[in-house]
Amino acid sequence: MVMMINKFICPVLFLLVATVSPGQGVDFKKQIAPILSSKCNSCHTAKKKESDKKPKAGLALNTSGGIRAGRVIEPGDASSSELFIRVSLPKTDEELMPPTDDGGPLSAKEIALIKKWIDDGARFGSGSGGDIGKIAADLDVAKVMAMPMREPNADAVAHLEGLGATISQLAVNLPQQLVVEWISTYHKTTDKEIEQILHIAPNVVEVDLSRTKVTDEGLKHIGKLARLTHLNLSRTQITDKGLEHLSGLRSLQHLNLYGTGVSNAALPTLAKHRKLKALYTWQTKITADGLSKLRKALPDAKLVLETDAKSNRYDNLDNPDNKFDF
Amino acid sequence: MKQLFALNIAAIVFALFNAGSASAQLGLRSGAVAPNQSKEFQLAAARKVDKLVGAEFRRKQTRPLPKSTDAEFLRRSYLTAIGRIPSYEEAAEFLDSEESGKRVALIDTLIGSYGYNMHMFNWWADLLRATDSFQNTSGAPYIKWIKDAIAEDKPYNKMVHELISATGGGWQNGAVGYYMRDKGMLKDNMANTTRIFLGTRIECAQCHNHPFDSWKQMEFYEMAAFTAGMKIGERDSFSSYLSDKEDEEGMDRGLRDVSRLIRYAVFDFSVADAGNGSIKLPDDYKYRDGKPGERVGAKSLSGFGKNVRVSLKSKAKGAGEARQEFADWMVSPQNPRFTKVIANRMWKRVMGTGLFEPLDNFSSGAAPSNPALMAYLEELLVDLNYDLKAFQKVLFHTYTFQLAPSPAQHPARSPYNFNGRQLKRLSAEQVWDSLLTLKIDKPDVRKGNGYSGGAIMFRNRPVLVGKKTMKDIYSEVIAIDSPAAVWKYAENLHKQIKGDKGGGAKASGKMKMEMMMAQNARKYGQEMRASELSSPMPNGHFLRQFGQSDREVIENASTDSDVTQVLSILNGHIEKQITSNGGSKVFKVVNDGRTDADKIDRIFLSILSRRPSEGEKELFLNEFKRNRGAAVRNAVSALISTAEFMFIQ
Amino acid sequence: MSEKNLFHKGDEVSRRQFMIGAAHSYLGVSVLPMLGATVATSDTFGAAPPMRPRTAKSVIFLNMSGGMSHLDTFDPKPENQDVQGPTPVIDTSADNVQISGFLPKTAAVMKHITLFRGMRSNQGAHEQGQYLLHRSYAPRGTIVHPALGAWVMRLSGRRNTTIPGFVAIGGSSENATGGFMGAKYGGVPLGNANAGLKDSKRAHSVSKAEFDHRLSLADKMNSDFHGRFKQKQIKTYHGLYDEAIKLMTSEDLKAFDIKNEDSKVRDFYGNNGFGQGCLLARRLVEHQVRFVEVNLGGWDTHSDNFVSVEARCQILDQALAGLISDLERRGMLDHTLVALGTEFGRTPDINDNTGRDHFPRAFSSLMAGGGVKGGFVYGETDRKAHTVKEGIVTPGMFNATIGHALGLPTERVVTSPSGRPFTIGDEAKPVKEIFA
Repeated sequence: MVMMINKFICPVLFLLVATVSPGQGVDFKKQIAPILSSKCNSCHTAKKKESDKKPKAGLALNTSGGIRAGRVIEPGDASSSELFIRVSLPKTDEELMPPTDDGGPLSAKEIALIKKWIDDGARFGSGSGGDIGKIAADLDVAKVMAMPMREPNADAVAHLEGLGATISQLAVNLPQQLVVEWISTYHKTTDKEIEQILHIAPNVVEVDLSRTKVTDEGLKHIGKLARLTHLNLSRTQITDKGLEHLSGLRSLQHLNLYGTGVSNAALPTLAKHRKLKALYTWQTKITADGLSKLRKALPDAKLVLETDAKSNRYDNLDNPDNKFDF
Repeated sequence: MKQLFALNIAAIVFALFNAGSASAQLGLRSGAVAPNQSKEFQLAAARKVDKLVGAEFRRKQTRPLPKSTDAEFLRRSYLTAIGRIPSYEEAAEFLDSEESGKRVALIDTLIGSYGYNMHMFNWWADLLRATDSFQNTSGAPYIKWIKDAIAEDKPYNKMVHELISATGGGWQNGAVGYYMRDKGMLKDNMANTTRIFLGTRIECAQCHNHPFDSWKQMEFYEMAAFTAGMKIGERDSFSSYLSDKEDEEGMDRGLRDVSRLIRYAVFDFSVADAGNGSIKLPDDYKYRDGKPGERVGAKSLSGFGKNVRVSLKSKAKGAGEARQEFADWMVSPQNPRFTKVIANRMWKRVMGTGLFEPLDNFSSGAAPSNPALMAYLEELLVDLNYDLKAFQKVLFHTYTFQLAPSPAQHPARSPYNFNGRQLKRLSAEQVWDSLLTLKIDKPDVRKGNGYSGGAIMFRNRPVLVGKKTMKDIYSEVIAIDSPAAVWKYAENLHKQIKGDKGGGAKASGKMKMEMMMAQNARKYGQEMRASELSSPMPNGHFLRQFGQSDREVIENASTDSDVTQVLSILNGHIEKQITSNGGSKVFKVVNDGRTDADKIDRIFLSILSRRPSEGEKELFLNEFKRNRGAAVRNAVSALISTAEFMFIQ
Repeated sequence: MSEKNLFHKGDEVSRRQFMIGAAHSYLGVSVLPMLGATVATSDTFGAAPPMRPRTAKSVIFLNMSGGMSHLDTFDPKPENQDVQGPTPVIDTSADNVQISGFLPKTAAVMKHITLFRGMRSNQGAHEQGQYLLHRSYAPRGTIVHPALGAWVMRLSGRRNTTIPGFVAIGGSSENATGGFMGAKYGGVPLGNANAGLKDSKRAHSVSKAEFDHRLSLADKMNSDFHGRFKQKQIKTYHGLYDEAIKLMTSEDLKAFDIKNEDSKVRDFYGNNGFGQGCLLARRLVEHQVRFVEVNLGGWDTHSDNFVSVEARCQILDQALAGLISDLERRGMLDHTLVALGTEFGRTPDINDNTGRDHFPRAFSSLMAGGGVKGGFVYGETDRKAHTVKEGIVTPGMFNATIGHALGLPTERVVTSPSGRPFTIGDEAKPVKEIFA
């Protein structure tokens, strides 16, 4: 009978932690990324092109987004984090990462660094809070479009998260393309917080501002997100005027205006978004007549005013008195 | 090393660990007289255990922790031995006592009490996945069988043998529940048997050769052959006759239900043998040691004592003989794993952490953290004739059990040297039963689940009380030789039930009590110990919310905490049943207090089984001054919300 | 390829192709990788590269428990009256797709729906079939497999961290089990849509001030204990109090209260348990709950199949069409996957009680929104709906497809505490053809 060493035992480790001085923060870029890069990324790297091999276990450890999306860390708790558990197994364990025939195990120092980094909250920034600089006053959509689409600045992402935003990447292997949402914090999100999105302007492809306190003025900032494809403004107080700030968003494909004060007067502005594929206008002042005019400019777009059921069984809901207390 | 011990402020306790050696030799292996009855034997055995634990401390140069305080010992003993916190009176009595032998006396009292049985049942129910019903048939006889076995302290080896070899009707022999439980899944049942009693997991090998160790699919099938061909339920033709009659147009619904009751209780509820110790390999068998569909004979796993096997060539095996041999092999003293597994389970039950863990995965290679101790415990259990109660008593009497709680959390599943008990969240049942102690007086009295064993429950009501029992129905029906005559019997029984005006003048005292208990669950659902409620409680119930096993898989109880539990403490069950329930026991106790200080004492003793520290006293004296009316409620709520309440120290 | 070219490639370029193209051009030209070592510098890439963003953020799983008749709902055979019986057949808003006349409103939204007409299970009893449907594995006496929602929690976590991420409305609470993954990943079962989230509100017996005061008392008590036992489990336990308070004060808690909805909206979904469950599901998804299951029972039509199924369909039709069109007009259907499943179909042969019996060999299910094609049919049964001619989909494949829509790694192995390996769909591959 093959005897297996219990995989949860790692007595050696507890002695090792001491080798990382407790007072100092671990810098992800300088201390953790090089470990991952040299020891993990030969297998765990997002696919860049068809011929690339798939990341093992669907886990891409070459970007912060990939690490987060892979659910291998529990910030603040290394002992529950798969990343730490797997690298700290005994040498004989089949589950050890990296495998012994492929560079494993990591050195005691490396393991201790990973532990400390996770226990400290697994921050991807510099660890010191970082300097994310100022948003240039003259930033505009053309400048943003001209910016290279680099891996986003982790400190800027952390900054925005600190303001209540939820930031995720579009897919495991698309780390440069970010989705920004205000999920449980919408009720306290104003133009001021929204402006901070410009720190990662070249990376933002989807924004959800639904139910936030964004104003027409705040849409100025959104209008600079040159690569934006999806924008959800539903149930906000924005009006026709605000939409004008968006006219430079040439790649916009989905625009949700449901429950806003937008009217037919905005239609010429909307018609400029030639890439638009879906427009939601339920419970706005836009009318069916108005939409049919827009149809001429955007022949292939889906324009949703009410339910699109053939037989209009649901028209009793198209009632301006309907109030929602969200 | 010597100096280290000399400096040790806990040297007094440690001296005891060393000194045990001389006396430990006394009284052991006395053999002839039932040794477990003798106090001397138990205490000597406890010292021997301590000596073996102490040897490990010395080897690792560990200073033993000091002895637990009386309050720590009190709460720990109650929760571990009888599954609940002590009541105010019980706590005060023990803490105020100045008897020198009060710890030993407390353990003897607790283990001799009915609360021990209740708590032990929870343990068994989790291990055996004992449920109230098996699809349509009642699980009550099985529950009752387990409870009786605990009550009469049936030796473990005897108990296991009876379960594995169980045969007959459910109402005649509750032990058949062990197989009824897994009707239609006999192979899974075999995997479970191996896991429960031999601490070895072979279920992976059911479908393929085990990837991590040497179990082969062939070996799994050879094991499964022992129980293959067992028949659960009998006289299918009778059953389908009744079922057809029930479906007839215009059938009286009452009669239909009586017929169903008979079908479920008699024809569906029995275990019989038709197998001869052989089994067919699956049609997709893909290894070289056998052919798809080939028949193979039973053979016990190797490495577990003297093998038993059934040769296909000999036709000597009658139906069920193989299963009997299997049961003999399982509990044989030559099967070392059988004793080791239960000794470790009991150790974990008392000490909180196993000598090896997981308890049931032999192939994971987890060796006992203290092999000498493990060996001694096995020896002891055999000496005690597999008396689990006596065995646990020895463990409770050790100094090891009495050490102060370990301040550090030991990593799960790594070898532990037992220097102080690990903090552990209360089990769902311990939480429920402790809250019950705060709610009512004498929480261990009312009996429910399983004790309706004899009662005929018709549409959730006991009927023909004192006139007829389920056992009677079983033996009467099984004696009838034609389906039509059974139908007649059903019609008759239906008439009797309809005409039943209660009364039951002829009911014996015992029977009356059983009937009463059958009704307890309905009447006192919130005021019975967990062991007396349904097994398991329905999903969503407080017990399930706190992690009671769903009885789907072995040892599926959980002590994980989650946010819904905290909500229940803050806003739900606890708030409603205890904190804002002025009639609950804890409030009565507190109201009897003379002064604020006395009242605070009583709150602390009731909930945390200790008196308040000076700082705490001051905190709550202030509270009493500030919030006259609400102070008691606030204090009760605050104390229940502490981690100290939710963890065994 | 330059950005400019990409943007002028034409309106028909799907968003996904755009995204992929963009990624490649940036990767090839100017991206400075964070970790340095392994980024490709090649500028060759195929026309349809595999990188694919998730198409759904949330899932609403409609569980038709009892075994929904496929002939009388989504796979009618009008040309074979002997199996079709009296159930009428109607055209839908999708070309060449006909469904049962019991579902007129659903027919109107068929252009959003992908039908699976080649479902196949190997479990013919309810409990086992439901188990397989929810967990991709057949029940075993030796392990409890996690429900699909628990898989989603495990592989992707909550979106809104102030409220539960997995909620099951009505039906067996087993459908919300975390199985071997533990309660942490399990769902919150709600008895019915009106019940709200249990114990999430302060008891009437306690004022806000009193509540806070009690917690501060407990806190003072705890500090001693925590000082003595500096342990993770104690810290974790304390953390749960913070989380409970966070939940109790969450803005999103009101999502659980459908009484906040206008009565017209409530009627729109149908004034019954299932309809209101679907309405609650929509509210929860609006608040970024990741996985919501709603149960509709009563499909076990061994007798009087046609009467019973028509009655069930009235409820289903109103709620399903209501849900889909409500999601659509709110702009949510694009990223919300509505999936409808059942444990098995019913026999094409009509029995003596004008009923249909269990039939796992061929049955139907559907998905809508969340990036799936509209008006699309995957799989086909023979002329008597008796066996699957092509496009067999097992419950495991169905579940893997849901995982795929969410962008989860469907091949990811999760190991049970006993060391056994499992995947979201029991190693089944997602059906990728159904995605637009």
